[in-house]
Amino acid sequence: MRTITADVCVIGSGAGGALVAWEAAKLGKKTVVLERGPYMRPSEMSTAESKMIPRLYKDGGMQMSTSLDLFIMQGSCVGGSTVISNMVLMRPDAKVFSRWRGMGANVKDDVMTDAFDTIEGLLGATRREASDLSESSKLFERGARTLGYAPERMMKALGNCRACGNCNIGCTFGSKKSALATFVPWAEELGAEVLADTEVTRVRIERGRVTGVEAKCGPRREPLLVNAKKVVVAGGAIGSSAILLRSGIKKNVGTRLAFNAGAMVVAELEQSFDAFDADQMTIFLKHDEYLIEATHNPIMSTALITPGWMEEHGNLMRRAKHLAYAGAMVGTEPNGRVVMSPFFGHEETRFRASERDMARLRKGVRTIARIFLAAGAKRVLLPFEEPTYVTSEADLPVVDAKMRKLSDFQCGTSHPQGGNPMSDDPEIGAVKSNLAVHGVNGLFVCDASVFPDSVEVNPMLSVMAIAMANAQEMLAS
Amino acid sequence: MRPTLEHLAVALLPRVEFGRALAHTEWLTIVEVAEVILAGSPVEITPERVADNVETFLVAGRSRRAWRVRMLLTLVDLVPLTAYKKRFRNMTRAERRRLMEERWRGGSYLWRVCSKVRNLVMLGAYGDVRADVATGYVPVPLRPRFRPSNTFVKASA
Repeated sequence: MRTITADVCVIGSGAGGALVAWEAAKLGKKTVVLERGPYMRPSEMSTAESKMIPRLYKDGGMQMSTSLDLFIMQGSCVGGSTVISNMVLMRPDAKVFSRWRGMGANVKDDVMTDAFDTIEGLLGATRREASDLSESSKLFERGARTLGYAPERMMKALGNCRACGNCNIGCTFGSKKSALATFVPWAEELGAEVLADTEVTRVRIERGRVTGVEAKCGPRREPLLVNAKKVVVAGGAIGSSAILLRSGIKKNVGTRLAFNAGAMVVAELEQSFDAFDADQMTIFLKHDEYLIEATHNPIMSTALITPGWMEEHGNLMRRAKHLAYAGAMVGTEPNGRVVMSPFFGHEETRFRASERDMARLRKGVRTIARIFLAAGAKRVLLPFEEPTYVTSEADLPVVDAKMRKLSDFQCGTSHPQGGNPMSDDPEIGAVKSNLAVHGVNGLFVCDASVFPDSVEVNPMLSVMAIAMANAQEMLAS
Repeated sequence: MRPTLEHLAVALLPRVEFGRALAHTEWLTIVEVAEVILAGSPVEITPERVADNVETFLVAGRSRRAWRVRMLLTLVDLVPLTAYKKRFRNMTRAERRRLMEERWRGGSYLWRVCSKVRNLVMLGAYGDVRADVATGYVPVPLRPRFRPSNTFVKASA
């Protein structure tokens, strides 16, 4: 068995793992990063969805909840989900951290604000301008303003972006400031070693203290042992819980799993426009109960999210340049679980949306429909398998009538959160406020899995901020 | 090691040739679904090519859950026995269409599971370059502002 000795072993190279690896390398620690997915540099990427999704997404883009109600999209490559993200940096409302403190997670507002500021500066985040808006985003913005809403432009870290509209399949231009373009190479420059195509089987723990990590490398799955007295698990929500469960750590692990569950609404317009050749996401509308983001996808994803069967779907796709999209996103209640299923032989994701979640999703969908109608949409297509159109506000009660549970509509998420909740109360938390796993010395978790419940906005900035806020203490000798 | 559903599935499902993700019968099921689902699609593509694209996608993804796709395709083939006394592969195109309209769209659990095959067909059809022309989508390298100047002229020369 190949054996490596390191000061710090980081499992996962996404928003949390890459930042911690960089911080460790800055402190002069011998750092090894283990990443399950491939190391794909921009020069190896393309703008073909059918080629990139299977290579960059977890389980080749096929990850779903056990009940098959929910598509769960996560990155599985060096850089993690940041590589397939739109690099939206969104700060959560103060009420989120207040709620977390109520559950025993000592998250300090001022520390988080400092971390947000630092990360936005490091990544060169800028707010999108009017000239960045795609035609469909302009339409959404116009409709929202007509109804008296105040949509906002997103803060994003896109570097010298050429706005090709393919952020969800990497960045062939190397512009996007994902972890692949920032924290990972910054850590490597300082001596960190990144091992791609390396899947962790378990963390070794002896007498309550972490001693290393066992993994399998490459296509031949050759065994690897990394001896390290400090291990940071950052395999993302779901993945990190699975690693802890496989390592025999069970207390509160896999609990309080939440999502930003999303439902897409489509507007059909008389006029034709090319929203494909523009930034995918630029504006959002934040409401207390939901978040709406106007978006546009390349053609394969567009076909997947556009409802309908046979001629109905074909006719919509024929008019792809007349379609505008927006998604309603709701931070669900944390009633999901990650379990190791003896039946399936690997981790499974169980989740049932609550009545509160469903009510919020319905409100979000209704709001999008109203906005698109106000913007002049000929008709609005709701996210049901059976194509359901709205042509006036009088049609909107159909949303309440047909959207009762997750299986009633096409639901997806790119934002799983929780599973290893952070709380100093050992009855609630899998990790403490400093991200140390309860009852194990030297083992930490640093990704969206530590959120005690949903952050209710795109979670990447919050993951990075939590990593930055805790890195020094985590890595101290 | 305790046997899991995956072990059972791999043992029971037809053998897959080296380098492929699907057995021939599973590939055929995609062809038969695509024939119906893509009725009216603007993409001029054969159902066989759709199935090939799906398989290429699965091979590239190296998904640990690819066996579930194979299970899904087996369900698609077998579940119609319960209501139509016929396997999917033995149904005519018109019967398959009726099945999709009556059972898959908004159907109950097992039918709803079967309907997920729609996503495979969509990615096989609309992930193909032929979809670009049909929908007016211009791939990034062909957009004028992304084209290196004169490359086309030089290549032609």
